[in-house]
Amino acid sequence: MAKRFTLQVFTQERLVLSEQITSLIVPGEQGYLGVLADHAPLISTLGEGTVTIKNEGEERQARISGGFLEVVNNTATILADSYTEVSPSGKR
Amino acid sequence: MAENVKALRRRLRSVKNTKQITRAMEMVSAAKLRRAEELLRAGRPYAAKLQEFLGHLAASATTDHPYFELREVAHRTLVLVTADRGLAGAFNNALIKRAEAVLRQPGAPPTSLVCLGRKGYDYFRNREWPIAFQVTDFAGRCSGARAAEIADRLAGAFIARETDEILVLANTFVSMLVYRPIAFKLLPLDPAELLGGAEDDAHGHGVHHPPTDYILEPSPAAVFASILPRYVRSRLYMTLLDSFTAEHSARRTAMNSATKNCGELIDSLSLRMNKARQAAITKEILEVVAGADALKG
Repeated sequence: MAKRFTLQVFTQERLVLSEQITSLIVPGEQGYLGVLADHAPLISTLGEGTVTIKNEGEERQARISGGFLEVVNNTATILADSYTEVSPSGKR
Repeated sequence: MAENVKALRRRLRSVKNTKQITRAMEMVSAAKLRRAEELLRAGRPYAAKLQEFLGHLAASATTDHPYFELREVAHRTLVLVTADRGLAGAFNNALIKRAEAVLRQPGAPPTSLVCLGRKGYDYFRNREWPIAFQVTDFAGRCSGARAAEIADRLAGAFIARETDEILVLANTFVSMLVYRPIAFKLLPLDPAELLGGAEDDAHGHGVHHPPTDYILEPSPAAVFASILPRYVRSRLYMTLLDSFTAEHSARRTAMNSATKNCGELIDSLSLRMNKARQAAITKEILEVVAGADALKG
C-alpha cells in the first residue's frame, strides 16, 4: 500500500476538500508535476489545467484556473482561484 | 384641560406601525447576518493559509517586488468601506468621522478617496472631496472576483505611481453585538508584518516558522509575482466580508433597541390616552348629573 499524505484545497470562498491521498498531479505553470508522500518542501505556482488526485487506485480530476501549491511535512495545500470537480462520467 | 384623545390615538397607531417595521427589519438583518457570517467564516481559512504561505516564502527568499516599494508619500489613497444603507446605528457615521479626521490631518499629503459603499460616497461627494472611484452597488454581497477587480485597480494605481500609499478604513465584525473600526495599510506591503504573521484573522497560524528550505517553482520572483496580488485581493475581500457582517450586526442591534423604544413609547402613550379618555367620561357624567340636578331644583 502506497504511503498517503494530506491534501487540502482552499478557494477564496471556502475549504473545498481535506483528505488523505496517495498521489497528486497538478498543473505547474511550466508543465504538470506530480507529488507523492515524503516530497521535499515545495512552493509552486499553478497554471490553468487539470488536477488529478489518486487514492488507492481510485482517481478523480478537477479543473483549476490558477493558484499555488505548497508541500511541507507530508501536507499538500492548494490555494486555487477556482476549483471545479470533473465528474468521472464526463470527458477527460 | 385633558389631552386630546383623538390625537393620542393617532399617535399610538403610528408608533405601533413603526414598531412592526423595526421588528421586521431586525429579523431581516438577523437572517442576513447569519448568511454573511457563514461567508466570512468560510473565507477565513484561505486568507489564513495565504498569510502562512507568504510567511514561509518571505522566510526562504527575498524579493524586490514593487508592492514592497516604500516611496515618499506625495499622494495617498484612502479606501473607505461603509454600508450602502443607513439605519444601522453609528455604523457609518463613526467611520466617516474617522475618515474625515484622517483626511484633515494637519500636514497630511493630498489624499483622494475610494468609497466602497454608498453612505461614505454620498457624504464626501456632498463635501466635494476628490473621489478616485466608488462602488455603491454591493448590496451586501461581493464575489471574490469582484473584490479582485477592485484590488487590482488599486494596486494598478500604486504601481503606476499615481498613489504612494493606500490606506483602508473599515468596520470589522467582532461578535454579534460588537464591531470595531480598523485602519490598515494595503500597499506598500510591510515585509515585517508578513513575516510575523501578526494578522488578526490568522488564528495563530504562520507565527514564526523555522525557515524551511523550499524548492520554489518556477522561480522565487515568479512565485512572489503570483502570490502578492492574490494576497492583496484576499485582504480586500476579507475586509469587505467583515464589513458586511458587521453592518448586519449593527443594524440588528439598532433595530432591536428601536423596537424596544417603540414598546416603551406605546406603554406610556396608552396610559396617557386611557387617562385622557377616563377624564373625558368623568367630565361628561358630571355634566349630565349637574344638568339633572338643575332640572330637579
